[in-house]
Amino acid sequence: MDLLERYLAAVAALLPSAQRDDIAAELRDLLMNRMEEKEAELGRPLTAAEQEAIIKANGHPLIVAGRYGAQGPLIGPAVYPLYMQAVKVSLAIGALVTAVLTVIALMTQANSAQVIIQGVHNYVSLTITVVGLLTIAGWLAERGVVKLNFLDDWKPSRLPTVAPAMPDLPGLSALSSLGSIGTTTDKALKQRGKSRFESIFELVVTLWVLVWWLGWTPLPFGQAGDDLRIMPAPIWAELHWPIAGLLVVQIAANLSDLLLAAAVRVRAGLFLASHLIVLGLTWVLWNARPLFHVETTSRPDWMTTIHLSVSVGLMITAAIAVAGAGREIWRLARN
Amino acid sequence: MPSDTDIFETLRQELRRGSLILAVLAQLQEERYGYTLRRALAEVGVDIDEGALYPMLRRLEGQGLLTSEWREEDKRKKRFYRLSPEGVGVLARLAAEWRAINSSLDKLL
Repeated sequence: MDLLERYLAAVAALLPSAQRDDIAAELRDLLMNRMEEKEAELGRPLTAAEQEAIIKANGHPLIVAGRYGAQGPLIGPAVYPLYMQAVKVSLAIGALVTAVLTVIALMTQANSAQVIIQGVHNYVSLTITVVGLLTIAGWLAERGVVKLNFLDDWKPSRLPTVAPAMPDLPGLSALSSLGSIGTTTDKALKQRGKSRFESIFELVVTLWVLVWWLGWTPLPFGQAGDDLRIMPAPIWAELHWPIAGLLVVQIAANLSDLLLAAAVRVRAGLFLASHLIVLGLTWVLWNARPLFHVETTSRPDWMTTIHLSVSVGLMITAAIAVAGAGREIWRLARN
Repeated sequence: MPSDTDIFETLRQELRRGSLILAVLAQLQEERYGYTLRRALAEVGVDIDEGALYPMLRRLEGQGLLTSEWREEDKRKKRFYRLSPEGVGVLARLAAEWRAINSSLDKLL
């Protein structure tokens, strides 16, 4: 019976203290009943091996104690689809950002093999962290600690309009799922104003510009030819962080376009903010002209051409921003 | 890809899960302890794993549908369960629901 006591002690150690003695006593009775039944069947006392077999058949202490614990999965069927979508989208974005940063590092660093190994290492670490954090969030949502009110508080009329689908990008099936939060899974439908390819292209380009603007990757600027040198005016240095902020807002808007197809107001709000910031910056730049110092000896007419081009460019940018802001205000008002 | 047998087994267990609670409640209109309860269920063709039975009895008691007390029998202390007054009412309602489902399904199957 020493084996039985050791088994019961192992189970009891895993039980809540309030129920420990009670459950262990009941378990003892159950196992002794089984042993007595077996002894009656065999007509003799059980050997140590036979007792051990009966105890083993009852299950590992972890399993047995677990049956008395709180029932229910870590993440139940109601939360699981949202959890899986969040994992897929987060890992796809992580892959995209890691790929962009790795390509930039490959262009700027000599040791290509180390850059690639570092990129893979970063992505594996990111995957473990993201999945871990989302699992905790899913567990909290499952238990009602984190409320998912937006799943109940939604209006079909706020869903985006349907446009003809663009073909999926070959080899990028993970990215193809990016736009499916809150939308139909029917690939024949696409519920955004622009194609997925356009959204991803804009996102990558804006990320690239942000990385360049922050000086993380050196790109030549200024020397446009043997006899032409274009240098930025001091206003560009003053607007360094406002322009970086604009790029961040544009990245957020592009991400929302990819990931939150059903959240029309969020997307419209981000794009409206982006257009308004562009308008403000355009106004500041317009008043700070000339925006570039042009140094040339053989073609003095280029100076006039470049300044005129900048002015026309600012006007076109402002017009596009006004039109874009108007469109987003209309979307906000309609929804 | 799960085989047809796996799918059938999963569906069978889902189908049985709710009915086992009904069977246990029905058997505990008369006072029993775990071991005799399992044998009584087995005698009428309802097999239930003891590993699932005992935690189920705890849950049902926690929900107020069963009462229990420790008593000595055959020189050993045993925990005897029986339906609480609340459990009697719930059993009656569940039995009515079961008969209604059974009757409806009989028309379909």
